[in-house]
Amino acid sequence: MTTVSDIENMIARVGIGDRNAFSLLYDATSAKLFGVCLRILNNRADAEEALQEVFVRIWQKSSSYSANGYSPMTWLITLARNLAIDKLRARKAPTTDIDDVPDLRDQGPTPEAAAIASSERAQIDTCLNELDDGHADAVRGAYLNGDSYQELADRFDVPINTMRTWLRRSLLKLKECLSK
Amino acid sequence: MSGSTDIDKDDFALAGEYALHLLDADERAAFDQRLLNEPALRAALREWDEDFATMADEFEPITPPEHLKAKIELEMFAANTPSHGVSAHFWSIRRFIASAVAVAALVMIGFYSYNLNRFSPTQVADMVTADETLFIHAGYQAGDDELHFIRHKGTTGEGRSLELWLFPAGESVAVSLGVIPEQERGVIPLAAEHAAAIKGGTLAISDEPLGGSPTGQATGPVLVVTPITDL
Repeated sequence: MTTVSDIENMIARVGIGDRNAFSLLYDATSAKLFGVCLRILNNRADAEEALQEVFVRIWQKSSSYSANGYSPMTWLITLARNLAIDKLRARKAPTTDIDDVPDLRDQGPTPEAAAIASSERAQIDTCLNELDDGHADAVRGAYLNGDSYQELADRFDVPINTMRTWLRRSLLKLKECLSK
Repeated sequence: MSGSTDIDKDDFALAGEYALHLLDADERAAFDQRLLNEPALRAALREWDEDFATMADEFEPITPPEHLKAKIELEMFAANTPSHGVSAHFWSIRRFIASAVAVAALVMIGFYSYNLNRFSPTQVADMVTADETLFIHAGYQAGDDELHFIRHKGTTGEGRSLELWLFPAGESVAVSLGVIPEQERGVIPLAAEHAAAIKGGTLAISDEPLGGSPTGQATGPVLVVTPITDL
């Protein structure tokens, strides 16, 4: 079973150019990172292209990983998510191919990881629920679907500047709650 | 939480917007610039990234298609510009092997002139796997529409084929040159655009199902990647 420190080790070894470690890291994390790309891009071909770029980026950036203070999965997921959203924004017209959503599902997180995740998850859920009506959905939509301010403004039927003011206020409130 | 307490609320919110990827391209680029010089901003961003990542369990893991891994490895590791120390080491081993087989190459040139009369290669590649179980020499003569090969060592696994790939100079995407025939020596026909791309290019061999990759991209392990050298 792959633990957090296994992933950390693999990233460190990839950082010094270990191709075998790269292969192991791919095996251990590609399903999760592909899930991120697919959720954001909602298109299989685009997600495959994004995943490819994600792993090239991992290969290039892993040598600086140990200095940045991120937990390994956060670092990988953040990298994949940002890259997928870059692609999403660059895409002219959004394409959706629901039929294309694959049915190959991987096993979930390890029980240990799941336990840690669920307590942290409960905390952010609690704090999101303290936000004004709908604002939690805006934060979730931005994080999980890569929604832009324009999309959020359309959904809430408010001007984009109003949306931004709301969201910035919500972020500060969220932070205050999470820091308790 | 260390390090982020000494930035103001506006920057804290801005870091959150950046983490969610809500900033437009200009704002994002400006924030990227600031990140380089402001450790407190980096710390704030890291906090947000870690906070938001607790929602990441909603990203359902989905196994990517099997061919993608080989494709990624093939495209990455064929680059001639190693960015890591170990890669440099790897290439120095490569060079050592290359010089070791230079003698073999000379013998080969003799073979060519004896056996093929008019064949006198201008580009060669000695493809030796890391474990040295496979050694295939490829030779090309400028203007030809075929690539000569000699299988010095190694056989293909039962029900498998060895597929030859070419990365044209400066390209990160490989094109298939087809399956390497099972015999000890022979030729592989080249399309005109592939023949033109041999000089300065890089060859790679992957292990594929019988008859070659069904997808047009490498699906099996990449056994060896060798830059083509001019004679």
